Amino acid sequence: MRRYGISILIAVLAISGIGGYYAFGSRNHLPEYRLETVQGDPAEGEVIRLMGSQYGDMRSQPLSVTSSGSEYGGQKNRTYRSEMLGLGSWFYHDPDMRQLIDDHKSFMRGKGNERGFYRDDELVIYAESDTKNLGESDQSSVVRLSILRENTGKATKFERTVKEPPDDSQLSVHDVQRVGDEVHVLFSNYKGMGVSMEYVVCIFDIHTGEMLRESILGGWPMNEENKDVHLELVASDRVAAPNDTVFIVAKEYRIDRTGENAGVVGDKLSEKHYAYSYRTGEYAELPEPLWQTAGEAQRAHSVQQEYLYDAEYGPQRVVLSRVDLQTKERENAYATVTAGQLGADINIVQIHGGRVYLTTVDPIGIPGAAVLDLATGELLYKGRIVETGERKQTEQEMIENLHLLNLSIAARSEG
Amino acid sequence: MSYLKLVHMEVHRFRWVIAALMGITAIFQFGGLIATLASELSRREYRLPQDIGNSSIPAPAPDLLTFEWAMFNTQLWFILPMLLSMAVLGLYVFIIWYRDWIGRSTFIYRLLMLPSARRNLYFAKLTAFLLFVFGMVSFQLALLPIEHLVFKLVVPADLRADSHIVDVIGINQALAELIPRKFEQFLYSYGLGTIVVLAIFTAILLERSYRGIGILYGLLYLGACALAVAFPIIFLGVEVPYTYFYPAEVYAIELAMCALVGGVSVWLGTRLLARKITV
Repeated sequence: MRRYGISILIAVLAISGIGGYYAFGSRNHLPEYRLETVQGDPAEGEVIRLMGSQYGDMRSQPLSVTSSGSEYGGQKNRTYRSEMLGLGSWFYHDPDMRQLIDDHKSFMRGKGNERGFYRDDELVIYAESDTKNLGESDQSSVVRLSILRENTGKATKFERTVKEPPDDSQLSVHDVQRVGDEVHVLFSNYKGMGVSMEYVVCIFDIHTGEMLRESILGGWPMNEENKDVHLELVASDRVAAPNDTVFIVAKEYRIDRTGENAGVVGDKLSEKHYAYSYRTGEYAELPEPLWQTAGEAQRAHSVQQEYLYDAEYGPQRVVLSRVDLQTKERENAYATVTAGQLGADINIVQIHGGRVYLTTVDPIGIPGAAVLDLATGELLYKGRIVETGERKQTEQEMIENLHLLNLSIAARSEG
Repeated sequence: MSYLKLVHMEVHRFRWVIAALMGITAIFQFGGLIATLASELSRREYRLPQDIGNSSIPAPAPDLLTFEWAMFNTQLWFILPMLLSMAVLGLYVFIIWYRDWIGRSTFIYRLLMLPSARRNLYFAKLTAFLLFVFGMVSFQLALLPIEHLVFKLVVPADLRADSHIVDVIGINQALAELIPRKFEQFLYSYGLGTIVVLAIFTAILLERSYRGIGILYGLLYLGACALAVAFPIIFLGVEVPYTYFYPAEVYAIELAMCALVGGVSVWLGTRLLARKITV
């Protein structure tokens, strides 16, 4: 044996060094957390993912915390597997997309624009746009439609030209809806290499794919020398769900296009709100805005079945308002939840699947989350972050090091 | 001669080189660490501003020094011996074969005449090479706690704070690549490295089998292996939802291609050694 000492030594060194590091040395590197229920139904908190950073001596580590535990991300925690499986991709995180892939794996191949999907009890429709001969004199824009009948599994494909040459459009699909035997595709259209933008709704026959008509949604101020128009499309948070009405918010800002502050967006000059109904084709500027922006308040809004919901929020309160999409009747401030009721300040608010999700910070600085019923504003869940695992920090260290600044809803697809 | 004896023979032949690499690594790293700490402590003693006498230090010193900070500020001293070791081991992939043919005596004839399967020779060289690589990685891992001890001996207790070894490794660009945070990534990185070594071994044996034209065969083989491994990533896409294949399928294809390249390399290499190379 002694004769082979050097070989045995190097073999033992190789195995014990690497094995020891991964088995023991790398343990308890970073603190572990969990979102713990303080009040309400724990199932409501299971879909919440709070995201942010754990500060270290010299660097911070990105992490996300759920009711199951915490997970550290970032380049150093990635593996080839996690990169290849697209674990960072929003597309594969979206519960509706995951459900579609589970149900129709073959149909979903090669389809990656989540805003191009529509699904009801009978059909799955997918639309995507393409620009042919970009920049040439014969440039044209086409749309490809794939329609799957769920009961038979039969898929039909169409490719139709929607902008004939000469064409300077760049179409991008933003929403797809079905109205009877028609497919309505809402595109954003950057005309003249992005100089101006409008929305276009093209309507196709569901059986033949023929384009029947189109509606141009515009009318807001155009970009000018010292003005910049920002557009926001407000639709359902469930991108593939049936939905009749979309809203467009056009905000006009002052901007310098030359000089030292070129490109810096200045004060807001105006804000106009528009509504479009797929069913009736009616498109008009709303006589009074959907909401009034006041002071430093932030907003979250979403179309949920028959209502457009608006949450105006700041650290001290969240105020819920809604507009009935059929009658246009408004219920301003139908529910208000205050920081006092939550026992914590409010950071971020999101509306999703019949719920209002809030991130909170309690008076001593511990982050948490809360869930409200969107219809009533009733508090359904309240949770706070607790530290788990072997490596423990003091409460003060936790407050200093843990910074959860963002929120995603993991898998709530009903509602 | 058995496989294990052949492994030992290869280790024994390289022992002084590996010892020298370990020695150089230790000298550079301890030297760099002590010099950096001494410089910072001296600055504090004379209450000099951060930028006087310390222009080479890229990160300003915190109130309490950490081993992580020391590691960040001695990157070059750690990276240079590591690069040297990598270069020597990279060259040794070729030398481990060619030294048997090109030397004072054609030792390969004696090895090929041994009354045991010739594939033992192939696997012994592979095993020895992997032992050198993992031995150097482990040596680096073993050095870190000792260097941490040196840090504690040099820096007074009231001037230092603790660091975790994972942070210490992560702050050094070379160490972070050499020792991935996740064991799974370690398996991927070193598994891919092993496949590269297998492919090069086979290319060397192609050259040894066909001599002049064998160089072309070897290069073509290496190109084909690189293309096969890169094919799923380049042509099928990673993290791109628009591609025809789902990510799990691309991942499975990539693993299969790596296994295929590794398997074909071993099969072809051992076959060339057994049937094509004659004494």
